[in-house]
Amino acid sequence: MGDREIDQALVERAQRGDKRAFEMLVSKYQRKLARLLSRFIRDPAEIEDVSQEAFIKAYRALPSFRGDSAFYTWLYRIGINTAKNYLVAMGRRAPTSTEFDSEEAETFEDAEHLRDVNTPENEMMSRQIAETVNETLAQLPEELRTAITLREIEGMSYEDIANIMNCPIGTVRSRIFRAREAIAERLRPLLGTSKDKRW
Amino acid sequence: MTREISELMDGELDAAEAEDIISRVKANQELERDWSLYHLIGDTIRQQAFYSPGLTAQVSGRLAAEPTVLAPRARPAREKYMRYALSAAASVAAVAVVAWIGIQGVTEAPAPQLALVQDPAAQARPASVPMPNRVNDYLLAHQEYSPSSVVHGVVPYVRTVSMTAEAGGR
Repeated sequence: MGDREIDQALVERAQRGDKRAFEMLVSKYQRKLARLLSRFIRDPAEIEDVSQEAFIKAYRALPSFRGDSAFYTWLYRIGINTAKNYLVAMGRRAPTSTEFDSEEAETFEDAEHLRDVNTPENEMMSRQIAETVNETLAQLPEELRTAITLREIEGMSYEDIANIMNCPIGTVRSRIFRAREAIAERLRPLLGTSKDKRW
Repeated sequence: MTREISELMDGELDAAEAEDIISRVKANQELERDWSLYHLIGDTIRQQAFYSPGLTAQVSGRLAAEPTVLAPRARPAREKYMRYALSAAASVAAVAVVAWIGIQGVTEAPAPQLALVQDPAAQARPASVPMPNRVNDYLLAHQEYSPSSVVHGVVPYVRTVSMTAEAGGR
């Protein structure tokens, strides 16, 4: 079951009235959507507001989502339209349709710009998170670091990683999980453990 | 369980396993935090992190106030294609069956035949009825009263003779 199928499974649950399934999609895509919105909304508080609004609009529009496109492609369009409406309402220039093509949805990258739009507090926390992740990653055994890098940056399947690393798929599963868990162990104290705190 | 979450987010579980893990994650806040945390790690590794600690909670709060969405289940594209494919296959199969039956009827199915039994006793034989000599005289005498016919010769007489012979038998 690939990434798109997992999203579809969550969407179908949400369409049957399961709000927590939709929250899993929010957890998954909030940063990607915020990154997209940061391209033309500078204020971090506004990005959060528009992100929230886009997710709520997406939830309300779930009955019209038929699965013909990937969930994120659909969310991307809703995000763009929400941002346009917001900017028009604020009397600011809205992006033209050619500035944000839905075909760009899957490949959109703009990390450099994002650093400029975090609030000072969030910017500091983002930096701490990034440092912790990078430090832990650097300290990981080579095979774990390679496995998670091939997965997270290159987006390779376990089978492809197993071929590259010349090891069984089960070993790849284990290495990627151990790498994630090692980083997560370092992040949990930093992020706190309160029940309502999610990232 | 966190290992299964790791595999779920990488798309490495089959459908049944994925559905099971999704159900477990939804039912357990700690697992849901792990789901969020693993995604944060991935985004950070890709240098895409936008730290917004309260966003999911805020959206959840607003979702709680939203009327619950109940939508008809979306039909996956694969299922749609399968439906069309099955319809087409059924049509083709129906046409093939009809055509096959037609072809069989024309070329292969033997025409109904009656068993040919050579039964000497059952063979048709011309009736041989002994006639009295005076019948010939009678026929000649009444020739002009016999049924008219364009067929000349003895045929009209044969009929007459037969009828006469039958009548005479009674």
